Amino acid sequence: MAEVKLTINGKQITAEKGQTILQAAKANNIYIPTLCHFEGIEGRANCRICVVEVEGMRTFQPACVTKVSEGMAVNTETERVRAARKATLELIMAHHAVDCHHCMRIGSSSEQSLDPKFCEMCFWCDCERDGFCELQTLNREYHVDVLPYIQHEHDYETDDSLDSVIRNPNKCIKCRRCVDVCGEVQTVHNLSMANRGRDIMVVPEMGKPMAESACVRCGHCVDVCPVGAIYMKEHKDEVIYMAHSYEDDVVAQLSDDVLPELDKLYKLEPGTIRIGQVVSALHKIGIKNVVSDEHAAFLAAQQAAEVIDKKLGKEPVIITDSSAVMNFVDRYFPEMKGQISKYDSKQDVFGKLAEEFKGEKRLKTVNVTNVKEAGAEAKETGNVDYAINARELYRIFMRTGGAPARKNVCAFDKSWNDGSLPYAQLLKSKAWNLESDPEELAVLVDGKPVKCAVAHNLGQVRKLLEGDYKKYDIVRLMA
Amino acid sequence: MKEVRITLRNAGKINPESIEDYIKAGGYEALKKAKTIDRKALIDDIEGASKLRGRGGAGFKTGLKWSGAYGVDSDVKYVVCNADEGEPGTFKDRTIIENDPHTLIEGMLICAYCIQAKECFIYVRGEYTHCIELLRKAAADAEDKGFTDGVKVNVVGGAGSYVCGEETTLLTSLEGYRGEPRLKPPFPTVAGYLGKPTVVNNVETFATVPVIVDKGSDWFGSIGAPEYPGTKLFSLSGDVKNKGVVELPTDATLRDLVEGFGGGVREGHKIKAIQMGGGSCGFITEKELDTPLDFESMRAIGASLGSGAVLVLDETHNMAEFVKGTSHFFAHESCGKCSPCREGTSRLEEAVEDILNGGDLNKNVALINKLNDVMSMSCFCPLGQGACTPVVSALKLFPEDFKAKKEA
Repeated sequence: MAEVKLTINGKQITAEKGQTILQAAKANNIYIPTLCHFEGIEGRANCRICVVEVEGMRTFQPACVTKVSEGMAVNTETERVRAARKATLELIMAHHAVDCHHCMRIGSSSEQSLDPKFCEMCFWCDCERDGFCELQTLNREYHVDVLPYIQHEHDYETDDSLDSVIRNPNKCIKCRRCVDVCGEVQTVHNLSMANRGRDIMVVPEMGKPMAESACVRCGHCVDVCPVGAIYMKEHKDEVIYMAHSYEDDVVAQLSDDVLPELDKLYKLEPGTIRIGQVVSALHKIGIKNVVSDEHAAFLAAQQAAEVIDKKLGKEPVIITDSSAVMNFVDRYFPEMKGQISKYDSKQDVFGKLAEEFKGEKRLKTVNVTNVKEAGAEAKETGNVDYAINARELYRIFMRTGGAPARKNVCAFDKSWNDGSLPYAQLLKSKAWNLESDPEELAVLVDGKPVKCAVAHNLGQVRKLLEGDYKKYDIVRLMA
Repeated sequence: MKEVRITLRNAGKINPESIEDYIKAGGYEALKKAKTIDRKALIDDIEGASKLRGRGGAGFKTGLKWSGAYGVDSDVKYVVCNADEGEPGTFKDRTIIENDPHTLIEGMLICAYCIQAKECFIYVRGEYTHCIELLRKAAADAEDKGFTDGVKVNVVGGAGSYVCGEETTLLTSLEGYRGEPRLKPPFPTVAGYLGKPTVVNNVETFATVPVIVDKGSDWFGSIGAPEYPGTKLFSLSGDVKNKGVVELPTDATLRDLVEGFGGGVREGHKIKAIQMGGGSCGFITEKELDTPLDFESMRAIGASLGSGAVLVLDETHNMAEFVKGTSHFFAHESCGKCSPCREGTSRLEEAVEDILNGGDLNKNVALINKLNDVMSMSCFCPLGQGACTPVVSALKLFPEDFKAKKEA
């Protein structure tokens, strides 16, 4: 790879040809603020927060898409650039329903009187993103306070038709990450932009409510939204209430996929929080029975293995445990429906398994997992009472003071002696990614290698179902 | 100074619907001549000797643009004509098309020959329905007569947005997407329509090419100002006695245009301001009437030749009222892609409105300056970058108009 020499803030650095200024800066520990940029998705340069001064250029250049070139001189923190960023933030804020700065407890909405640490301990305010909102973080960094404009906040109605994935267009900053993820990565093409100028907004297919749109409930738009414009409906109040109620017995299944996100939210080094500490923290808020998801994973994998054993060699084996994949198939590949074997998700298995804990009281089930579709799945299928993701778990802990990093490690309340996971390499938990090609692997069946493919996103699912599945013996689909 | 008709040479003399008329007037001879010349030599000639520069507003060297597309190795290349004439006060492209559609098509075919393109598109402003019909007929006639020689000329109606006149937005719109600008680089000459090398030129630029090929680059290069030679079409409008499209050599002065052809303003009135170049440009006053009408001279006085729109305003106008209109225009036409323009254009309109409603002048002026600072530097495309220019210019030249409003 050819190298390019350039200076950023007077510091001579070397970058690879084809890199953006942002990538080159990051590699050299130079911080450039971003808002619409999302690692792995091609930059759109919409928000104009990452603008930098490039000597010889008439205007500021967006660092997220501007490629480095030989001899380029970049300045990222000049007074003019900082002023432009702040002015842009003010413009964005003036058209954003600000639920976070209106503090009901201290009766102020002034940035100076709010201590970020205090905010993070409270969460009485309304926004589901408060504390880890990317816009809020930038506003604090740039001291955005009293706006010189009349606030336009509540122009649109909140779309809660799904009762799981909720859209509040009043908070949307039009970064289009959700549009890109929905269209380019997941190839669902539900969310798109409508109107122009100040009236521009993200709308589901043909402006319909989410429940009637092409949405397959994969939940990834929620994950990429930098603000609280798309969020998963929270049940933290219900969960805290249930945990303390004399009428209810609460059983929680805890998956270790929440740990990396929790570390990030608590601003800790990756790997700091241990699963046993989260068990402890859940005990602390009153949930008496916490079980690991390993048993559910084992039972689910057994179901999948049965299908594989029955079909392998006779017909293509296409398996999935995801209801979002099934929704996707319903919409785009209805003719393939008969060929796809749906086995229980861990959440399904847990819902059935939890009966074991039923005593005198009402049984309530909570699945704590960072699987993005879990919340919508719980709503649509009713397999568990609530699904809680890492962000909501963090907000519950923040509100109840149950910081897991300060807890002792505690064992799960029940364990099972399962054998090893069948077809572990294929059926173990795998993470969603932004790649366009499915993962290929070979598993041994009776000593012979069998060609497998795993789709890590719906775009890969589309690719496989359009015909590529024929190249493999076993195909696993995830949303 | 007399009008010199080069681009508009056939205007009024031929029937625009008749290809025979155009051929009788010497039409399509330039195309035949061009095809006898080596491609690279022809491009170099247009660049070096004729010094033809884009007539759309940016003044980029046409030959340089063509040689860019010529130099890229690709089997598929496109020629696109920007006929999305949306700049307020501009109507010269319409005049060309309505009078002589074939000269545009001939110019495009010469370009297609030079860069070896097999398909051309004319993206015509949607409201110009008559132009679209004329061009469709002209393209079909040219094909029937065998002039296109396998090159397909498509006429596409615009999607009704000002920003589609910006070349990358035009290409995005042509591809069927939302009319939004895209990143440069890559420039269209490298990756334009459908990612293929594409030359995008204004109607006036293409329409001038046949004459240059016909009469020679040196002849064209000797007319007008040395660095911006030839003629330029001006859309003269506003408070002048005679309005219309005038073609002048580029060494003519603004006074020749406004007083000579426009006949000046009404009796008993005087010129207050002239908006040169279109809605996103600043104002100049009577003092600058002797500036030559070429790119560099206009830039030197801080104005812009732009698309050739010349809007004359007399002293009966209040500039604050006027810029309220322009700022409303930009708020309406912003595509919404980048945050400073999406939110800033309407905040600018609000600030001007507030002044007109008797709001705090100093506060609003400070706000307008702040918006100008961020928008001119941070916006994605020229729409946002230039949206504040008329307001800031009016505030600088006619501060009394803003104060008067407050006191009234």
